[in-house]
Amino acid sequence: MSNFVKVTIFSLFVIGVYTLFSVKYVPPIKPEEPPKEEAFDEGSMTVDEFVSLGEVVYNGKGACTLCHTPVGGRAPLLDNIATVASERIKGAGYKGSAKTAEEYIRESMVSPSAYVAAGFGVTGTNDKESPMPDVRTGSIGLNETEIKAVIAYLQRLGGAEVTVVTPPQAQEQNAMEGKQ
Amino acid sequence: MSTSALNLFGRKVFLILLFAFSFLCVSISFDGSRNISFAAETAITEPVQGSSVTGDSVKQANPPAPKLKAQDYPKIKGVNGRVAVWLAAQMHLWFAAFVLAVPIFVFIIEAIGMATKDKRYDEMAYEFIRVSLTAYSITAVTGGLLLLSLIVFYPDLMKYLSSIFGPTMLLYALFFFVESAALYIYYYGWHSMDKGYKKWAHLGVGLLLNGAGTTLMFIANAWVTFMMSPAGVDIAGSFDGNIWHAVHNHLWNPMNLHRFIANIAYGGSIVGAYAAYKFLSARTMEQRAHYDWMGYTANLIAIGALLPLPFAGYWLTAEIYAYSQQMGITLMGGVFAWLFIIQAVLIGALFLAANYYLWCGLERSEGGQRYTKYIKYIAFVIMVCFLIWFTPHSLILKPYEAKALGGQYHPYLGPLGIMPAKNTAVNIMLLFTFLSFLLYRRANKIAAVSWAKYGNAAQGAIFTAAIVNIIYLGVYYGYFTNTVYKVASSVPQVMSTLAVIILCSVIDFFMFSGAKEASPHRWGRMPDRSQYALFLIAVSFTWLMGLMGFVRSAIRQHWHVYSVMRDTSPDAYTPTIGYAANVVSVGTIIFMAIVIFIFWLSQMSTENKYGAADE
Repeated sequence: MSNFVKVTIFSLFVIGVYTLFSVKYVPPIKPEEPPKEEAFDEGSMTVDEFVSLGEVVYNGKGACTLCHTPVGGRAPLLDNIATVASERIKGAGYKGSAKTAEEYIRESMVSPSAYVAAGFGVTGTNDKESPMPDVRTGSIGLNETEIKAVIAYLQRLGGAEVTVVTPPQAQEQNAMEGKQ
Repeated sequence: MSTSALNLFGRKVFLILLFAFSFLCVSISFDGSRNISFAAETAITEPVQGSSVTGDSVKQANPPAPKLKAQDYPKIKGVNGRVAVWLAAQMHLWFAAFVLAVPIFVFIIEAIGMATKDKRYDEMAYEFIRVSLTAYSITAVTGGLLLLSLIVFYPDLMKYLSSIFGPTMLLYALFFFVESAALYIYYYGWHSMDKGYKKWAHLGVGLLLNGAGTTLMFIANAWVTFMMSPAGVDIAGSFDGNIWHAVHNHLWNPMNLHRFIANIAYGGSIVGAYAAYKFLSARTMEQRAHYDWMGYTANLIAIGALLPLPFAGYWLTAEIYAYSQQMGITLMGGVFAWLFIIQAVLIGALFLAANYYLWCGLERSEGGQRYTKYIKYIAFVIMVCFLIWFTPHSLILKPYEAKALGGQYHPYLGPLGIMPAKNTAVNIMLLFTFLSFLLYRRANKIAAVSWAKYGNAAQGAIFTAAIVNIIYLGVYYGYFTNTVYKVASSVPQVMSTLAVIILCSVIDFFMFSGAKEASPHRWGRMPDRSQYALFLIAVSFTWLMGLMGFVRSAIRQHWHVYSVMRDTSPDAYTPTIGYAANVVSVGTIIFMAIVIFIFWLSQMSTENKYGAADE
């Protein structure tokens, strides 16, 4: 057999092994579809629908589960954040501007360095700076409705009362204020 | 210069001019796109993460990045636009790496030849610049294909990028001319500029050639890294007008360093494969000795560049994390985590092949037999390190398997899946590869200095101390600190490895200065099977480059320009690793076939000139 044939067979064999390994051995994980720019009818949303929207955003477009998950432990778990938030804003170490649990969750999303949970700050900043981005910016880019929906979802997740005002409730409130 | 050579030269110049001209036309025409009205979007006054742009700068007139719809992407029946661009880009990158790497390699070899006055170096350098010449034309052709496919399938992205990078595209064309001119002078002037000051001038042309080539790569890197870590634009993508902001984005420097080192390693590997083929085909002992020596030198350069490559990779990855934690996690902890298991297999294969080649090299001299008894221990350590690197962290399990295992992680192997364990393994693997090299280097020598015993003891102590330190750092940071500090072990581990390489090299250099010869070093006395290690290295490097190119690009996910310009085409989804592996394999086969064709052309031109002398 000529050297050319031998070398060709050897090279194809090596490429074949790498390909087979990647195709057969590596689990065929299908990456998530790109998040869709969903148009939701804010005017008719119930609280439950609002919470559902929050869950979708939390697990999808918001990319929250990349870090807020037991695997890896890169960021605090949020299962009980509504209760934790109520206690945290009363603590001496809290220097943020939130007065309620809802405001605290919102502050954590749009201004993550206002308060950084112990052990989760950027290395070398003594927990003064959060590695989390402002969820309104960058590749996440949540809008106001989506932020509120995530807060509602997190409140419901922890078994707390959903205090976020849904768009229809806001309309009602505005109407009431207008009458008064 | 013969007529046929002139004709060939003319054809190549025509091709290159054609590419440069089309490039100029595109960059000039797209540069005018600043006046094109894109779909309006209100400019947001917050700068992009990592950008140096202030809120004031968004008041400029430059339009935001276009917001595209699926129908904005042209379709050609029967052609998948993304795969076409993917293959064209990958093919161009391989050839570009080849034609950037080989002149670097040739320049180093020519300089060594001048310093040592050994004509073999000069002949080898010339042999390779001849190969590079044909590859240069094909690089221009694949570059033209890439440009064309981008314009056809992603016109709006090209418009947007050109509206920012237009001037650098003109600069790119200019440097392309400089590189072409320098390459032709370097090649065609090789024999007429081979003595006295002319030889120095020739080396200077080689430096100019490499300077222009490297600048070209840096310019192209600016475009690519801008798509990953955009700077000089606001959140809506409006350009602030300062092109340096866009060029000098967060990932530009790490990418420049990583690609520069990788190119040297890649060039060495391809030259090694060429030498291996010629070695196997050699009919005389003289030819066999020549190509054995060529293969060894090429492999030495390839592995020499491979050793610092993981460190450049760490820096790039750390900067990706620093720019966007989300992007960093997508890279290392998300769906692409398994890709790094494939990478571990490939790099493990590279290291095993490189070590195997060095061990076979011990046969060149009878003196080498003194060290063959250590091979099994080195092989054992490298295999253990390879298996640790290869161990995945989380397993994809069926529910009953997870239940039986008590979770997603294997109770004993799971801890080996985390980064500190892998960092520890790769550093020890590097150290033992270096040990193989040290043994090979002293195979035919006996140290003549009186302090040789102490020198050996010092080297042993340095190795031991470094290994203990690397393992301690890996264990402490890996299992006794918070998650966010786990990667902190990598820098001191790398410093330990580098310290060993530098200190032991210095000791070895002085210890073996004026050494006695244990037995003659006979080039060509290598088993044929050793040459397949060189093929394995070249093929693995090519495949690895394709795979890592995929992940670098894929971590942008559904963004053309991360967080600024969204990809809304039907192909915006991230493909599975298996699918990517198939594309990379097809690309590798096409690339290797063309490289073999280039080698064949080069051999044919030698035969024309010297008859069948080469054979």
